[in-house]
Amino acid sequence: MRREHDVHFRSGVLRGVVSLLLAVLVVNLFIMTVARHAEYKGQALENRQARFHVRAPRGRILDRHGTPVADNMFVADVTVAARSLGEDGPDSTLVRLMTWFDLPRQETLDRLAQQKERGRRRLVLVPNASLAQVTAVEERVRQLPGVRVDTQARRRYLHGSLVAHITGYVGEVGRAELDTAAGYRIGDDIGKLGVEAAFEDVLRGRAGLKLEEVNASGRIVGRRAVWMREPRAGSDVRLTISLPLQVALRELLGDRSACAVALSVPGGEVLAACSLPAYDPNLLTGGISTDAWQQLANDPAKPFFNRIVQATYPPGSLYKPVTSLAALYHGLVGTETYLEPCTGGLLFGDRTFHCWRRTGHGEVNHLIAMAHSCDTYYYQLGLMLDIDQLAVAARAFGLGSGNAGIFTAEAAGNVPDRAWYDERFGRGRWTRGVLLNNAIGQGELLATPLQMVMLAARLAVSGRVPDPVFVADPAPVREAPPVLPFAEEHLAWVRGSLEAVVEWGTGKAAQVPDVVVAGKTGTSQNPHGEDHACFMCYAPADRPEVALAIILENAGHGGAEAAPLAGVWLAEYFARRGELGLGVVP
Amino acid sequence: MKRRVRAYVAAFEGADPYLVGAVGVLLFIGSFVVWGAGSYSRLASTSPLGQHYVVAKHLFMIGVGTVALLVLQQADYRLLRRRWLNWGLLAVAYGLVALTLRGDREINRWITVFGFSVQPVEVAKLLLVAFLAERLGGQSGRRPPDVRRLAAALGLGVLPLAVMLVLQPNYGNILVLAGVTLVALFVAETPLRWLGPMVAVPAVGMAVAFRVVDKLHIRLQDWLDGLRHGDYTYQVTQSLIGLGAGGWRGLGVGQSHNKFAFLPESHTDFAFSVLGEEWGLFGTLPVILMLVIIAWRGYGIAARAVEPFGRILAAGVTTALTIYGIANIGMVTGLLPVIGVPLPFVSYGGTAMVAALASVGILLSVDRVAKAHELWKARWDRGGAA
Repeated sequence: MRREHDVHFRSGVLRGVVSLLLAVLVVNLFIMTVARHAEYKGQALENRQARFHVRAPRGRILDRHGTPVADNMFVADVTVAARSLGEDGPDSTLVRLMTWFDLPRQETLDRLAQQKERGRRRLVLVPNASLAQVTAVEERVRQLPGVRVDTQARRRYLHGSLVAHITGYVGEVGRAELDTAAGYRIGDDIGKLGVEAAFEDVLRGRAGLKLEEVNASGRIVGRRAVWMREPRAGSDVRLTISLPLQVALRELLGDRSACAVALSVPGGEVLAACSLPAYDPNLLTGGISTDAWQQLANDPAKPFFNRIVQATYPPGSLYKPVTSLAALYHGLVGTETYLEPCTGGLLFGDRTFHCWRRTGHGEVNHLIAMAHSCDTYYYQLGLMLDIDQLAVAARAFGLGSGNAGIFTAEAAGNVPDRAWYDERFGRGRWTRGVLLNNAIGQGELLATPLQMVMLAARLAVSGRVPDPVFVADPAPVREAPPVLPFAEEHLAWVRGSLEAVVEWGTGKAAQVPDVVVAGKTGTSQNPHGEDHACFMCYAPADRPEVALAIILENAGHGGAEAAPLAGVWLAEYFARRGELGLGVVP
Repeated sequence: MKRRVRAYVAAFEGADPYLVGAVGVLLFIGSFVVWGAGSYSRLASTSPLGQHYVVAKHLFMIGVGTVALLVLQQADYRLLRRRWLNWGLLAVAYGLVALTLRGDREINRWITVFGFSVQPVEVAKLLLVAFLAERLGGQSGRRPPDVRRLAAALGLGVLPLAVMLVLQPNYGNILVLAGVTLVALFVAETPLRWLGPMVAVPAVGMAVAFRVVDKLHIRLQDWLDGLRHGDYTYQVTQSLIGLGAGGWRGLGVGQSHNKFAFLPESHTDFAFSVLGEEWGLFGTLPVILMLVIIAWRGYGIAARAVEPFGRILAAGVTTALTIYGIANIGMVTGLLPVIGVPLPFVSYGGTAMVAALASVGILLSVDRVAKAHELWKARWDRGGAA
């Protein structure tokens, strides 16, 4: 029986060992499920719920009549989780997808790398996917780890490049902006230029947030969000631009390098503004390939260059009204004064300053000099003036300082004075010769097209035009218009002379039937090439309601090239002003 | 015909109700878990049965296993004492295990037989127990086993399988192999002083293996990291979260979140975790209790067996089952390294399920013979009256 006993003993030992081990497991289970339940529950929640940022629809950009210029469309992007693109084997998800969709290999890899650099966790593989592509992905979604179709609102610029320099464009928020701008997440859009950038806070709205139940690969499994804070849509921004007038202006300019700005008077609202060549902002919204970007950025015609406020040209003869006003203000000449006759130039020191008409204008008084833009007469005015007197007159019109506000790289232009020349050339190392150039708007004088149209507008109504605006709503804060120091009679005389320019002077090409136009031609000499043709005007002369400036780069004489275009546009304006509700003074 | 059926049923009526009941409860619980957790498996996505594919196959394997159980229960396990059958079957089984080594995957455990993927080691394990029983308990009268038989048992039986399992690699079954061998030696009444070296040699072997084999080392390191710093691997972390989040009440049947691909192998090796997530302690404690009952009854049957062969056989298969159970729950709860063993009768798994049910068949057979023997002995004691 000892044997029996031993057998039972050994079986008992085994039972005991097994029971003991299982008892350990039971104790452990109790600890996990009872004592540490809350901790694990929290982890489980973290595990299965993911926070999603719900982008707010961006506010639209409208023209002054409420027609959309930029809105949003829903597009489907095929996206892939950055972490599932680790290995690049022949059977990798990426390679399979590229084969299916026939994606250009290098371009796709570049695009992905670019996005990865920005820290995105989901990379856009196929932007603006077609329905066929979306279906193909949705069908095979389980074989494609990390791949998903995301629909999202994308900015759409309905008129392509037409208003590009004013609206600017949106792009993906960059690394640096993420650090400085609050509330942006990787992959969000942010206004990069123009109105999109300046009114970012208005347009952007507030992103919503939702908690979704997800599975292990991050795919949403619940039918609806566990919790959601609705996004608040951005507000619309209404421009002062009138699309029909903008289209008319754009068509006039054709495929030149040019700039033209039209302004309401005395409102100072920009009705139309073109800077050519322009870019299509739609190319930039969905992420642009590095190549295409380089091509745009390196284009010698500079499509990104916003000539309206960034380009500075010598104003040329457009500046002559300023010189006249300065001379009249200081009593150096009268409105009827004859100076030395024009023989085609003026000898100053050992250098001859030529009049644009080499054969000379002969005997000219102040009015004739303005109407025919006689440079010799103005050289003489220049010699009478002090450089600071001229500069003060120019600054009274807003020349020499940026005034549009919403553009980041706005140029101030240049109105040189004594201090400026002293600094530039050294005290006593420059002569009054600079005054000859300044008097005819050349030399170191520089102005943007917007400043030129402001000059016309302020001449038209004796300065009662506040700084220009591009946006009507949200209503801009307007500062009081400048008070011109000049006598009203002098201003009136200048206005009369500008009428003469169009009536029988150099600007006859700008005449419009039934409307009296006042304007000034200019030919801005340009050391880099052919002269720029300039023209500024306002109409009707007796009760001005619109001002326009046109600069055609390297086009020659303003009277011959720019003035006719102004005439056509003004005719269009006056034909449609009633229908567009413009110029109606309450 | 009717008589035969009646006789058959009568024979089964004598089967140990606790053992059969415990297995039945595990199968019942397991089917629910597999039904839910398997619905999200990759297999389910491509089958016409859809999300029910995995549970359908699970139930089918239970059917096959039940047939094996009934056949083995009715058969006389002592047939396995015949050396030609015993050795022959083992040789075939080892051959099949050797075939798996041809694979070029990271882990090679399966061979394909008539379109079914089979893990021969599950069968080989049972036949090894029979072989050990035959070698260690086969000789009548003399005990403990002599050195020659001991050497044959270890050298011809244990060693080749151990080598093949390392090559596969299949750490879970190495553990089972070690456990079964020790228990076989233990119940073969090997003198206790011999057991010291018998524990020490495999222990040292494993220690060396952990040092030498990189992968083992990594797994061990993962495990130690988990135990020491709570820094578990992904799968174990998910498993713990599931169990812990389920709490003592559970989230409710079918409410597991982990099965949505958060927890890999949720319907096979990690079924216990899903069970805990969904059913709480109401699911996990009964499973452990059933394992206790199976061990308890299994070793009881071993103790009552009519001869050493039956005793070693019963103790061996019981040990194989309980080691699977303990190792599985241990790994799912983060107490043991992840060695990839299923939870017997609960986890989805073809060959393992059939082998587990066959083990029960063997146990019942040993029990049936012992009971018949007692009956006969009682009659003999009463004077041999029929």
